[in-house]
Order: sequence, then structure tokens, then C-alpha cells
Amino acid sequence: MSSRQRSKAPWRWVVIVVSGLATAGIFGAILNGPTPTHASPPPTPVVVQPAPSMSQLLNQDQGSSSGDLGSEGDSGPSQASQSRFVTRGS
Amino acid sequence: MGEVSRGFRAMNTNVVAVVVTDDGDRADAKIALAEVEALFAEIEAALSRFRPDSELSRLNRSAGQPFPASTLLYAVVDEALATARATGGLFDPTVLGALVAAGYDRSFELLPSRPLGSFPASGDTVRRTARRSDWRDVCLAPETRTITVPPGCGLDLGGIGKGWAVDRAAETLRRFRSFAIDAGGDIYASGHQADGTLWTIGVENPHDPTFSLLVLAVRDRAVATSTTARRRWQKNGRTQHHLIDPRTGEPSQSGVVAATVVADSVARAETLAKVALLLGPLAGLSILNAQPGVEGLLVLVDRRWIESAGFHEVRNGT
Repeated sequence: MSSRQRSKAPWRWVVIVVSGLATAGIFGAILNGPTPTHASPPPTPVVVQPAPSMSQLLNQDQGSSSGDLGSEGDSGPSQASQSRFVTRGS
Repeated sequence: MGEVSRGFRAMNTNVVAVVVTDDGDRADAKIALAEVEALFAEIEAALSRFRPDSELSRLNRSAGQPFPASTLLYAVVDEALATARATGGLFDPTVLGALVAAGYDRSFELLPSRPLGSFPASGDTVRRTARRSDWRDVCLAPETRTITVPPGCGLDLGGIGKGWAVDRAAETLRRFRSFAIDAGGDIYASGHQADGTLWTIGVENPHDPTFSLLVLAVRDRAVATSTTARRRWQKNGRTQHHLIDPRTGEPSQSGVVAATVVADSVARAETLAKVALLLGPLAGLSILNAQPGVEGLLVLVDRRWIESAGFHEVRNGT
């Protein structure tokens, strides 16, 4: 192999790699669908500080699978007897 | 340390007062507890709207003209109007007309015997006229200690009277470091129990009164609860209760079944509980969180509950 042929070899590899990537890109586009294009950046969502949601604030009876207070579990009559007084409303 | 206690009936509920004593002041404690019972009797005689001869009933009958009031009645009406101002009228002692119109025209224990839908025309008469005026039209004249209720208007001090009585009773017992007074669930607890532990107070589950939702442990604090689960009755096929929303003149439908408030006085806890209940879950919780030294818990119609930011500080075991 002459010195001229050896100097062309790297360019051949560059052409092979570039054409390979292009082919892979075409197949990728076929497989994944067209790449979306944006004329402008997507709008930045406006973040509104939410009030505490009910789900964050809510408690429910730990002993009740249905969430019904007093249906079963820890909040039973034994708690009432553990307290000296009971506030019950009027 | 020991305890001296006294139980009695007043304001249509059971009252229990307890004083923690040592051997040296038991006799004094017994005298003080007798004074507490006499105080409740005096306040009930003045403030009951179910007693025709009470001072409040006489005031309501004299609507439209200045009524010379006792120091006691004047003080309670003054506090009730101050609370109405502070809450923008959400606490309104002049909802008597709406209460009567809803059917709550006599002591609650007598209501179930009434045939449904047969409430007297007098209730409707009061409703038609009483809502023309509200708490802003009640005039106090401190120089003559007179109260003028506008014509067609009536005062109901049931929303503040019992708490006011417990607070006055607490003043009577103040010379003892540790004591507690429970008037049908409106409670003031000072110091500690005889064994040195904090006073414990269960919060009744409004959906099932045989259960406590949780237990509070308090010292030098008042606890009161407002609920729509009690004092309910039927009128014209609709369930009524005694917590009237002044904005509608109808029993509250806010989504809150019960509000329990911990505060520095029972009257304050009682009125804040009522206001929070009327406001509904989020607004009610907001107003409790905005009050210094106040914590509260709101039980909702769907059987769940929400707590104020520092409520954990008064929960037992924390």
C-alpha cells in the first residue's frame, strides 16, 4: 500500500460512520415517528401556590378500613374511658 | 394530693367540678365548689330563654324599649355583641327567631314529643319579623346599664352563656392551682390531676357518641365543641338542628359536623367552634389557624377530620 492510499483511509471511515448514523436516524424516525418541531419554546406553566388540599389535611380513623369513624379499631370506647372528661358539643 | 368534687345539674346538662387539694384545704375546696353550683344557678336563672321568668325572657318581652339589666346580663350581652362584631356576625345572638322558626322553641328534651310539622304559628311570626333586625341593632347604654332589643328581635345567649358560666366558675376556683370544670362537654382544666398528670379530655365522635375520636391532654386550657349531631329534630320532613347560619337563617349545611376548639377561655372556645363549623372545612380551619393560642379539630360529614397546625401539641401522648 502506497503512502497516498494510507492517507485516504481515515476519510473512508468517516464517510462510513456518517452514512451509518444517517441510516440509523432514518430508521429511528420511522420507528419512533416524526420528531416534533417547535417554532417557539413551549409555554412555561404558571405555578399557582395551591391552598392546602383536603387530601393533605384529612385524617381518618386508623382502625377502620372504610374510613368510617368508630366503626372498628383504635378509636373505640376504651379511649373514652381513658380520658377524664369528654367534650361532646351541645 | 387528693380531690374534692361536686356534681350537679344546671343549664339542662350535668356539671362536674373537681379541685385538687391537700389535706389542709379540703374544707375550703368544698366551700368553693358550693359557690360554683350557686353561680351556675344564678347565671341560668338570668340567661335561660326557656324560663319565662328569667331576666333574658323579660328582656326579650320588652323588645323595643330600654331594659334595665343586671350586671350579669349586661356583661354577657356585651360579650356576645363583641363576639358578633369580631366574627362579622357569624356568631349572632339574635338568631332566636330563626331557631324558633326551625322548631327549637322549647327546652330540647321536650321536642321529640311534638308531632312533626305541628310547630305553632308563633314561630313563623317570629321568623317573619325577627330577621328584619340583627345584632347590630341591639343597643347597650353603659351609663344606665340598659339594653334595647329592636322590636321583633330576640336574644339567645345559649351559644355563649354556658361557656361564660364555666369561665366565671374558673375564676371562683382560681385560688386553687389545680382544678377542672366540665359543663356538658364545655371544659376548663387548670394545672394537673391529683396524680400529677395532665387533664385528659376525649373528643366525642359525632358520628357515634359511644366512641372518642382522640384524647387531648391539657393544662390551663379551655375546650369546647359545637356539633350539628346533637339537638336534631324533624320539621316538615326535614332534619333541623340548632346551629343556625346567620347568613341564611337556616340550620348550617357547611359540611362540618363538629368543631372542637382549645383556647384560653371556654366562651372563646365555644364561639370559635361555632364560627368554624359555620364556615366549613377550609375557611373554618383557616380562622382557627389565625388565632394565637387556639387549636381546633373539624369533623366532616364524610366521617373524616382535619386539624389546625399545632393541634398535635394538645393531643395526648405528644
